[in-house]
Amino acid sequence: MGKLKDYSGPFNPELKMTDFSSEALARLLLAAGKMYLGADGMWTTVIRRRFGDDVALECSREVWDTNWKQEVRRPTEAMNIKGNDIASMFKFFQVDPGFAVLFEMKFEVSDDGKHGKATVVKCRTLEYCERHNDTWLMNLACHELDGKLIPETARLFNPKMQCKATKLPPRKSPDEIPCVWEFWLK
Amino acid sequence: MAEKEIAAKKKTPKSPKEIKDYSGPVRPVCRLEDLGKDTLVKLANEYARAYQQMDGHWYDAVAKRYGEQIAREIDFEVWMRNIPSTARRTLEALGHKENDMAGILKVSQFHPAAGGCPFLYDYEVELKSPKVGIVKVTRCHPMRHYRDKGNMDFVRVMCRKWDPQMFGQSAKAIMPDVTWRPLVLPPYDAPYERQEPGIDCMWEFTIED
Repeated sequence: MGKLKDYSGPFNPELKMTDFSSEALARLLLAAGKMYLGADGMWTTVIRRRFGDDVALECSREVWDTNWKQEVRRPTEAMNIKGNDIASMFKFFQVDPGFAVLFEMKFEVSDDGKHGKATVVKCRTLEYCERHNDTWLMNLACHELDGKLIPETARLFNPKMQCKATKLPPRKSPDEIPCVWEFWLK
Repeated sequence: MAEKEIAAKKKTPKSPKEIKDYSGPVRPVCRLEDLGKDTLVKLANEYARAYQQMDGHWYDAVAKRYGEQIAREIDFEVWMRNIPSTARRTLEALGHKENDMAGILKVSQFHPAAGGCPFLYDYEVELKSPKVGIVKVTRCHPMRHYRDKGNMDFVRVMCRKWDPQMFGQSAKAIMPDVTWRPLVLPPYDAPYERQEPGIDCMWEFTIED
């Protein structure tokens, strides 16, 4: 395998992904993660403009109801992540293109593995909403979608896993943590 | 930007060594760069697939409410708005500094809606000269899917209506004065009757003097 640090050198018609170094691939993945959520954002914007907020909310819920299981299954399989405990789910969060790949996150798991805390330290989506003073979009992303899908993800990993958001936007200042999620096994 | 973000994330102590996959214990800090290349490539494929699929889910949600015609219109608008920024982001992530024909071809090799999505497409490119480049799509899963289902109406929408405008948008985002034209284009009837074995569609990009 090659160790290309980037693709600033000559054009190579035969180039394969595996010719790149891990750092170069990580940059590509970060870009792809942004594009993934960006595509969702673009559809939301266009539908809001054409049909209004209610239709956009309804469509967005439907899209994510269909999408989230694939978002969980595919990276989990690609990374050979097995297990149904909190640690296994956190491993998925770390490689999820719509979560810790894009947002700065901190994870803690108790010694017995029965409790866990996931903290979003820096969230691009929330920053975007705050920058544009878009409380509707913040409500969609943080409450309508994440508020339901993160507990659903926990249950998908293990029906006995419980989840509660102990901190959610809005926040009073940019210094505040965007959100905190606690998980425990019954 | 991407480089700065990766560098910023690196401030956190790096995990001890590269891991082949993530079947082992959870690491409190696990960066993409900690993962083995084979795994990163698998993940890149899945991210590209997710990117495309997101579009499909929105299309379905809109088509269900407002019909295929409206969904097609909006899908076209979304892609036309989406492609330029994502093309520039891909070029930046690749570290190619020049806005030139090589950059255009490199982006088409790795953009997640093009050669960077091997689940859907296989691409071959050729830099014929600094001013002329050829992009061959040797396997287009969406086109083959609709063709095999006999939905030639949608093949025509994708290949004849959308692609002649859309296919060059990523190139245009890199070089505004680039022009492009299809050399081979499904469903291979007038005015594009040319067919090439092993090629679903083929495009020529030219930078005008």
